[in-house]
Amino acid sequence: MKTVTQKDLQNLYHSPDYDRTEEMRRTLAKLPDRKAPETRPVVLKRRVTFILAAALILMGIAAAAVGLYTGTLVSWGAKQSETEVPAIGMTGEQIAPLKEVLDSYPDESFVVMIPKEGTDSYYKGITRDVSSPEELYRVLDEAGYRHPEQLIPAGWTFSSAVLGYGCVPDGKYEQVSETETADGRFTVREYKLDEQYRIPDSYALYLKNGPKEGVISSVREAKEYITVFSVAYPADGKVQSKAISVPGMEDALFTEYDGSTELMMYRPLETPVYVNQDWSGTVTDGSDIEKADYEMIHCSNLEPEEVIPIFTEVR
Amino acid sequence: MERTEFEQLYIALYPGLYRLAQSILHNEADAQDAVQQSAVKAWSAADRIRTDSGKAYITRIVINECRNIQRHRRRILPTDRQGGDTDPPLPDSELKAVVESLTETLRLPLLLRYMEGYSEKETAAILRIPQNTLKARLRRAKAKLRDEWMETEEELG
Repeated sequence: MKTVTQKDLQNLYHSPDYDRTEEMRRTLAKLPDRKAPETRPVVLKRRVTFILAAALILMGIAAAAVGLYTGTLVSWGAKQSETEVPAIGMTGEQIAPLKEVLDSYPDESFVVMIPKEGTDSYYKGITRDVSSPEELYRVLDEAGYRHPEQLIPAGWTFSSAVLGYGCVPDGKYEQVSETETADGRFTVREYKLDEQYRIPDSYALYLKNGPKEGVISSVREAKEYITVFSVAYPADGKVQSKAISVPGMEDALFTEYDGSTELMMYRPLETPVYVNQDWSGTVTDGSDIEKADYEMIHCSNLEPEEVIPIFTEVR
Repeated sequence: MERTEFEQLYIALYPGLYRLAQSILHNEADAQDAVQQSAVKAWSAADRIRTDSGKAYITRIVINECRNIQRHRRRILPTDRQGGDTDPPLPDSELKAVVESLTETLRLPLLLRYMEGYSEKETAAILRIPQNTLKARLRRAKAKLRDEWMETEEELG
């Protein structure tokens, strides 16, 4: 059998038609002179600008994503107050910590909060930390949240860092309770998800290594290992995207999608941020390589068997 | 990084960068665009390029430029390749066909490591994957290459 050498490989992509190096020299000669090195304040200003721009883009994506879902429900994210890094769900904003609220509901249910004086205002970003359900409701109220059906925290939370919420298609849940908040301003409705849309029943997380080896098939168990789990459903009820992160696992980012939405995943050091392809072009050039605060994984380039963890459908 | 140093580095890397771009884009003009555009981008960030990691840094920019071109192509063309613009068959077309039969996930590590001679550490950094993942991909790439190559030989045989 023939041995393939480095030269053989190089010859595959080398065309001796003309001297391209000369052409490259000409290109380099045309490069403009560089400005003097920027001072630190300018760099900081740039960074702030970048962060602001990213936030605006994400808000735009969130708004667009909300518009894409023909149901009345959207997903949103939350963060715990002790984390400094803002958590941004695929279509979400940050409100936190809701653990107290969510932990009081079983895994297969979710809650909807409905302001009594609801109007047609749409969801606005809420970035303040809250420490109790009552405070959350007040913040929501102050923020002018008047489209309560869109606020559906799924009934599961995770033990650290970030809480994720999915949106659920209309008609795929059953109301099981209704209570008022202490201040009487909100009605909290608890819904039970149609069985086929319960995430733990439909999908399991398989960890190849890391904190556990094997299938994680319940949300309760996932809480021990996962920091982020974001799921989005379009109106047809099929899972559109999922994303998770497992702490301490370098390769533990994976998203699965139906091909209609190409997800890009950017992972700051501590918290994943999900954006769609519209944003990818702005941050995927090589100049980002040495930014220690972002790591980019282009999900479509990952092969399932190489990704840890792997989502496995469980029937 | 000063201009002279940058130019010298780019000229030295250019053949490899071009090969890499062509292996991704399968198109001479696009490959050339990718490399030239990468030069512009790299130059704009030249003060961040360290001499010891400049090669990997620039290579990554080229790969990203190739991705941008691929995305652009997807928007305007139904397929990745533009029939009339692809390269003419090379003498070693059997080997090329075998290499091209690998998915990009396997092909790129293989070419960076064995065509361009990057170390495993450098290749992993360029592809932004852990070294263990790289090793697994290289192992699989080589196995596939071997299998496909043997098949080709049998067919030619």
